Amino acid sequence: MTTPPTEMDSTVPAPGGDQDRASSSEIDASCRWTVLALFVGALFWLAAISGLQALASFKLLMPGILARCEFLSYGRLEGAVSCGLVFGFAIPALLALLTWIQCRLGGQPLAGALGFWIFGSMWNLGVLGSVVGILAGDGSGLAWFELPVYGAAPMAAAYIVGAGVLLLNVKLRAVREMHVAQWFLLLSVIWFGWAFTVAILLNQSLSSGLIHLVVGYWFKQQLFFMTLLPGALAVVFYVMPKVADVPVRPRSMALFAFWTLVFIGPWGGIPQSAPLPAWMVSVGVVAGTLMLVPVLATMLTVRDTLGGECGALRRSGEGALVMGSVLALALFAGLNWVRNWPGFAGVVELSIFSKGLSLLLVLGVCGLGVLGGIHHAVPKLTGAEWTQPSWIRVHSAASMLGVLAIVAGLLLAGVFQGLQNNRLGATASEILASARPMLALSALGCVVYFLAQAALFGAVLWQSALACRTCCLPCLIDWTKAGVVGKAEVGR
Amino acid sequence: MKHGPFIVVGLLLASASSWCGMVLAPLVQWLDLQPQKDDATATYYPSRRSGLAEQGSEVYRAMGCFHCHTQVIRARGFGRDLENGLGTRRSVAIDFLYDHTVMPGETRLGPDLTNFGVRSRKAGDTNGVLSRQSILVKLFNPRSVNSASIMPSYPELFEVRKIGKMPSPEALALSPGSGVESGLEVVPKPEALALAAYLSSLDCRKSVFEAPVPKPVKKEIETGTNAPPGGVVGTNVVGTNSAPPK
Repeated sequence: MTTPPTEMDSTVPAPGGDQDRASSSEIDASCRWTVLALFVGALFWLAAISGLQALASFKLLMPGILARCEFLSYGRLEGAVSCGLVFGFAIPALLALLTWIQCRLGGQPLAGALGFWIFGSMWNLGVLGSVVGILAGDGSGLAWFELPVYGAAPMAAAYIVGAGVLLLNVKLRAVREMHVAQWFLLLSVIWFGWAFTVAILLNQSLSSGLIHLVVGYWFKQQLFFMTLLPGALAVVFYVMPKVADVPVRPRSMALFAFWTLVFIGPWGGIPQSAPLPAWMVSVGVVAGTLMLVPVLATMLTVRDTLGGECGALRRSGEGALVMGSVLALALFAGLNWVRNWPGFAGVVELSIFSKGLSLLLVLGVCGLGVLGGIHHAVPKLTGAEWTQPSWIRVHSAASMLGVLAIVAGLLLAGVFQGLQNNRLGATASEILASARPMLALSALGCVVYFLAQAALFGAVLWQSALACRTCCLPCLIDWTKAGVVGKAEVGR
Repeated sequence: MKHGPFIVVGLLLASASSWCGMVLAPLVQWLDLQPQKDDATATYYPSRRSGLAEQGSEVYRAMGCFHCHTQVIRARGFGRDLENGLGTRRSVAIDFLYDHTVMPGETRLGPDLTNFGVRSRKAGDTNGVLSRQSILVKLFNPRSVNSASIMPSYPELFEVRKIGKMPSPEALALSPGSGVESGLEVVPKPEALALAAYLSSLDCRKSVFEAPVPKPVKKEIETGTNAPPGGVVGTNVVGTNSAPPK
């Protein structure tokens, strides 16, 4: 095992007053077990849920699979998959990564680690209760917010603790100047806490199903555009300059992307077919179009930051994943805009295209970014390079290939399905038959993605075990020796 | 940027404004949302579902049916739902006024169910399409009705048992190739009956202020009878009191 370099954050400006700044190795040691435990939990959920996702995608092609098991019917699997992907994997993995990034950029060791352990245990119990509850038929009926209340309530409490400790770390930072990644980090962490608690409280206190529907659409928008997207951008703006060894530039463009996202992102999210007042749908269409502004600003920042030097990114696994995340964002923004065109919307609305677009954001933009961040962080946290670097590169390639197949399959299937939907007299069976080849491609992608994530879960677990052996075994031996000597002295 | 509090205040302002616009505003707009009276028939729309159908909507939610079925008709010029005969008008908020959980759905992998109750009633028992029995048969084994269907079967909603001295009156009339051994009968559980009642209750054809149903062109009655113009328009016959027949 080789020890990775314990470099300082060269991309962080170092103004005066940074004398109290801790070294990177000190910071990594303070974050080690807390962040690794959160990674392991998140990757467990990702592997388990992508397995369920593969099963659900095959059920669309062969509905007879496990037909006798009511817990694994397609409708319940879909709810459990969306819950597990977002709440089991994306949110805790983001919080763990953002905590580590904050400590690195802030130049201070992790404070309040106990808060993150409380967050991790309560949150994962809540996710477990929610996934089991949805499979047992207790889902709320709102897409991407199907959490039953007995799962959501402990999760909200856990998040308040976790996010509170992270914000405390932001407050305690030694480096006062805030990095671009920290702006997006703050946006993601604060916004999710607000939206999640408000959505739960509203759905519990109001009995109108129509309001629940509106709250569900609003929450989905806040989750996708104001939590997962800025969280992924925080990781991208941290990892990308580190791998390419360049600073983020121009900061003014990144700042523009940040504030336009803050003021445009939360509006919208209402499907054009929704049975809601027309003005709400119109606001959603306008916001969807205006979202091109922050995304274009982000793209320009990425382009100017790299300055054509993409070689280093391509060579490293984490760089490739982060670039995949950026490309997925460009594709997502473009398709989200095109989806609002009346002619195209008439075809793809109410088709499986919407699911493809949602997964492009969750698995592509956020998922690839987070996986890139995990690839980058784990060797530093464990103090050892990956034991099988070639496997990690294979994981990067398989993850991107899997996401591409899943998303491309669903998007194309949605277009074919939508065209058939609008054909006069077409039956449901005929409509779906036209999309079958693309659904098969998506199912294949799900299998590849599942295998890749199961392998990564194993690799991170193994890496953590090695770090534990390196760190804990000498202590254990010393402790045992001290015990033996002590007994011998007592015997004398 | 050193202004952490400035960022936090900006974020809170932006999030509060979006919440006011996208959650509070519709809440205020719907405060006075009431059922609408049809003067011609002196009936109100929408009306509350029966208790059994309400239970059925919970079964619909628990099964995750909304992941494959929509309950929403798009406006003319936006998709071809109306041309395909899925409904008489686009769906609006008032259609869901009394629903505890509104599930319009986002993906139409199976047929749209907005007016499923009407479709099943209209066919009736005379031509044998989608009466309550056929809904239950489809829930038990969809591929016995349509071999190409991808709908999952829901055997957990039914009890398969030995036929006693007399067959149960509730037992499904299954075709020989449905996979049930001879000497056994399939009896729907209360959840299946509730779900069938819910599906039968789906009917959103009534003209409403937000989405009026275009009136058909009236033909002059040639004979000088006292029959009301337009034939059976406005009768209270089940399934005909909402919209005139085409």
